[in-house]
Amino acid sequence: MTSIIKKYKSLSLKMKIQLITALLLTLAIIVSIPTLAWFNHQRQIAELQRIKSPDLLYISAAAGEDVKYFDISTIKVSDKEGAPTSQMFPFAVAGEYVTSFTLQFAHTTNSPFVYKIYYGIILDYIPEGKEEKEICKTAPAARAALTAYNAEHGTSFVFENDVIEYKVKAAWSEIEDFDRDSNYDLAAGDTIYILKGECIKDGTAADYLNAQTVDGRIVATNKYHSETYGTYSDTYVNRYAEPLYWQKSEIPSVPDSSSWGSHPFFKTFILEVSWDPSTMISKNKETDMLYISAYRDQ
Amino acid sequence: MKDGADNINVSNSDIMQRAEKHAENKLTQLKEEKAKRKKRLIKFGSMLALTVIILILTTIAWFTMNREVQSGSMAVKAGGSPFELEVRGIDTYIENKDDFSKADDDYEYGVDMETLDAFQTSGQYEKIIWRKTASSPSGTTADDGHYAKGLEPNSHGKLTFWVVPNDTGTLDIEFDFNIRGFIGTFSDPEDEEDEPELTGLYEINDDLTVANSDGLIENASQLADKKAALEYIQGHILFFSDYNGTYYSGFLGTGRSIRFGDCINPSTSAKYNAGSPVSVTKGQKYQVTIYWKWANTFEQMVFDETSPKKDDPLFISTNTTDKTAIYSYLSATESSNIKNKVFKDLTVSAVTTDLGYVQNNTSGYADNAAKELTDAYNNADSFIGNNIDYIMIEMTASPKSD
Repeated sequence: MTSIIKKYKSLSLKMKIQLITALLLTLAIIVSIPTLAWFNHQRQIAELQRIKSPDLLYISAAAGEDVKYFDISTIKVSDKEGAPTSQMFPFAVAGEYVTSFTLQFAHTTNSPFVYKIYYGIILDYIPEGKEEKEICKTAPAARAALTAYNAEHGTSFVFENDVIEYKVKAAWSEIEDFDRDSNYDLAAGDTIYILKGECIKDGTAADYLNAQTVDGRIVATNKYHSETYGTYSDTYVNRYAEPLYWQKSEIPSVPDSSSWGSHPFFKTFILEVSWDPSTMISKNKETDMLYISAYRDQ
Repeated sequence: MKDGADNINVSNSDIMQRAEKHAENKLTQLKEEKAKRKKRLIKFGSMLALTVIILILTTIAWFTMNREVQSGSMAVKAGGSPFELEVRGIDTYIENKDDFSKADDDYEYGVDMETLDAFQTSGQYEKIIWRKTASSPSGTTADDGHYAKGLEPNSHGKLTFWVVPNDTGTLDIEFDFNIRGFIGTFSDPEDEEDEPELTGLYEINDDLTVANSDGLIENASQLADKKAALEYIQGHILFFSDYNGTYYSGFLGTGRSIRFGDCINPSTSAKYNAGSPVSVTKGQKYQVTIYWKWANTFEQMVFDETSPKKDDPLFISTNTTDKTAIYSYLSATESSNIKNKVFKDLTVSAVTTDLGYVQNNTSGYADNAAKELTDAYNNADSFIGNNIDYIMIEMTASPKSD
């Protein structure tokens, strides 16, 4: 700095004037360049929008556990007298909170099974001297709860037929921030009792989107052939390989959304597979494909 | 020497001494004068400099204040903007009104026209915030582009504005659309049941780094993810000049721009003046609406109502212009890269090959190609949702050069 001042002082007056003039002109240029920007006639309008984070709904086991615990690989059909004619498989829709969702079910019809879906109600009760409901974890408690439920709703469910005893496993780790145990008062190893509640899929032809009855069996029409098989001609597709489609929308995820707090949830369903022994030829082993899917309602 | 006066009787050395002193005095005097002259000169010089600066600034101010300055013989036109833009709607329906300044605080409401809930741009307010009027008594709806929980695939909306010419004559304006992306910091609400509140927005651009992201971005790979996600949302949101409630038309394409003359005049349902400047009258306002849509699926973009693979198609089968344009948009490349990033984790050749099969409906290949593309499209959607918190849809209007 001092060397610059020295140099400045050493200049003759003429040089000093020239230097000052040069500096001023440079300054003028610097000032005028941003001024040119004022001549810009651009105008802008903008809108700010939020992006919703994607919903994640999973098909899980009955109490929000890993779907690997949901197993319907084998259904034993027996033509003995008094043998069961149905089997129940509880599952759940679990994941990030949504207000309501759509449940979809599709299946091929190689076996003449009747598929029904019910809401699965985990039985709970208010213990003596307490105010909050607790989940029934013993059979007697569940029986009592069922009696109370029947009284309250005017239903006549029977414990042996309509309630499934279910062993709870650990909550599914795939679902982020899924604090199932504290939100639902459950723990791995608990035994809970799931009541086969309201039926949302009754297994009749009318309930499907594309069913017809042929020779006493419910099979699919051609309505969704192109959606399922694309351009592959329907003359090459076995009638029983044409899937039946069913769905139900606006299923509420939690009973009271205003008090839920938007954390992940699970909602239990029971899939009941039933058959008429007289129409089942037990020596023929057939395989069907079932698809269960869920997605958030728009 | 005379006798009498004592001081007359001086010796030679005395004279010399006095002479020296006199000379010294004279020299000092001269030096002082020189110094004074220097000071005067400097004072004069600085006064001159100050005057010059003032003159320059006044000239500049005169130029910008005087809107009537026009010179027929010169190529340079010095004057006010040929047009302003107007938006209408009450404060309540401004999207994310309280958070806008977090995204870009250069934007203001604009000039309040005090009627019709209208606000305009001006020289002082070059950037204004969009307003909208509600299409239903209960308020703005999805059709207006209002999504209380945020945008998701299949979201759509419209952006309406009015061109306000400052003179009668012809106007040629280009409207360019751009999407900017932001990540946000949120507060932990005291009450568990409440939604977290937005506390800050950070724009995803070249200035965003791991260091200045306030902990939102932990490493270089996450930063790359944010930038990639921004490219995907830019690719997934499409702009159109017309919408009849079911089908879109007038796709703005890769350029995401449209000329004033090509915009639809709502009173005639035809373009203002296709491919040309528009004759305008001062005092009149010219309404333009541009529609945007976050395409839900790949099928929605490419299949029309006659195809079995249709999924709530964007375009009607007779709109061959846009049906071709969407393929150009999806397959456009620039320096061997796909220009409009729409499909996640697919190579350039996979995208162009698959698009070719789908467009030509190549037997045996089209179905698999469509499946690969639609999965990649949906993966990109999921990726967007997980990486970007807010977007800004920004329109820039510039006069087209004569």
